Amino acid sequence: MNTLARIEDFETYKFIGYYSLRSELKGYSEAEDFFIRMDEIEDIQDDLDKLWYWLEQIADKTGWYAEAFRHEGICVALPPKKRITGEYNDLRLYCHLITNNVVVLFNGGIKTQDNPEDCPNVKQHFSNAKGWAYKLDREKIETDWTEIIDVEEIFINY
Amino acid sequence: MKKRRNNIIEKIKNRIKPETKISVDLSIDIADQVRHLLKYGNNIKTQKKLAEILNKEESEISKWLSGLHNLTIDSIAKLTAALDHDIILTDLKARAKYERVIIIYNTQIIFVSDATEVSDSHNYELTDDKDNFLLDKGGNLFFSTEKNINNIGGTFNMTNKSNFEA
Repeated sequence: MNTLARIEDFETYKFIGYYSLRSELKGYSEAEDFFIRMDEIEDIQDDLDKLWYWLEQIADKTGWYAEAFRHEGICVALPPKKRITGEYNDLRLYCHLITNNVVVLFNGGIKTQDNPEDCPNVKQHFSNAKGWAYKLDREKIETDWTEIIDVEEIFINY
Repeated sequence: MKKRRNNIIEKIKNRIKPETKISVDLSIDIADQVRHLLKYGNNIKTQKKLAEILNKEESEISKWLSGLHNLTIDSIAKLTAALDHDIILTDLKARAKYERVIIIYNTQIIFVSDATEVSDSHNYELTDDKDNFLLDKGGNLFFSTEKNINNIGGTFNMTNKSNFEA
């Protein structure tokens, strides 16, 4: 049986509206799940705070710019880097740019390997994000996004 | 669209330390300034060229300009040297550099200010008209609303500039 997920509002600012994806079977959106899980890891709370504040500032002050993304295939990842327990661990939040004003935040985690597909923490989130981004891009082809005011009307297979 | 309360984000917003905000703000400001100089400056036009001059990979420069990178003083110095223009300016340096500011509109001086004695500043607001310029006390252009201007950091030539000297 196919499970559907809808795009839902996450946080909206002057230049960018952040959205996320919520499965009809889950209580939290993907982005909420990411922030809730990462918030439980005390060592990375400062990085998490920094990541959110940065998302908020570019959404409110500057607008999205190319360097904001760390390109990894069709998806992008948001990058703070911190040395934890002697190894570089990157906090990754996978997301997808629909337009310069609409960014869909997915899920992520602490990436411990160069290749996200080799990292047990983010492998599944990376794979999911790629799949959802592909589906959203198909929606984008079939739908004129500039005409859509309420992106919450968009559903994709979860 | 319905608006709902995002509890986890509210929690994070309430917890963010002042120094975290300042760090991100500075990083975004520096990235903005470098992008601005690449676009409107007069020596280096692309990230690729900047990377070549700094002997870095272009991806490294892209990371520097993400607005999240923790740039070192040395990296900021290298960027400043390569771009031949200030990237960050302290309040004291700004006061010295812009002790005297001239605003030009359609080649006419319409406003002159002095850091210690600003005149008419409350009555003037720079518009988005394309022919507005700000000159510092040395006659150097440091701001223009004209999109294609390409001589930021250079000297603005006005045939009758001396007429406007206070």
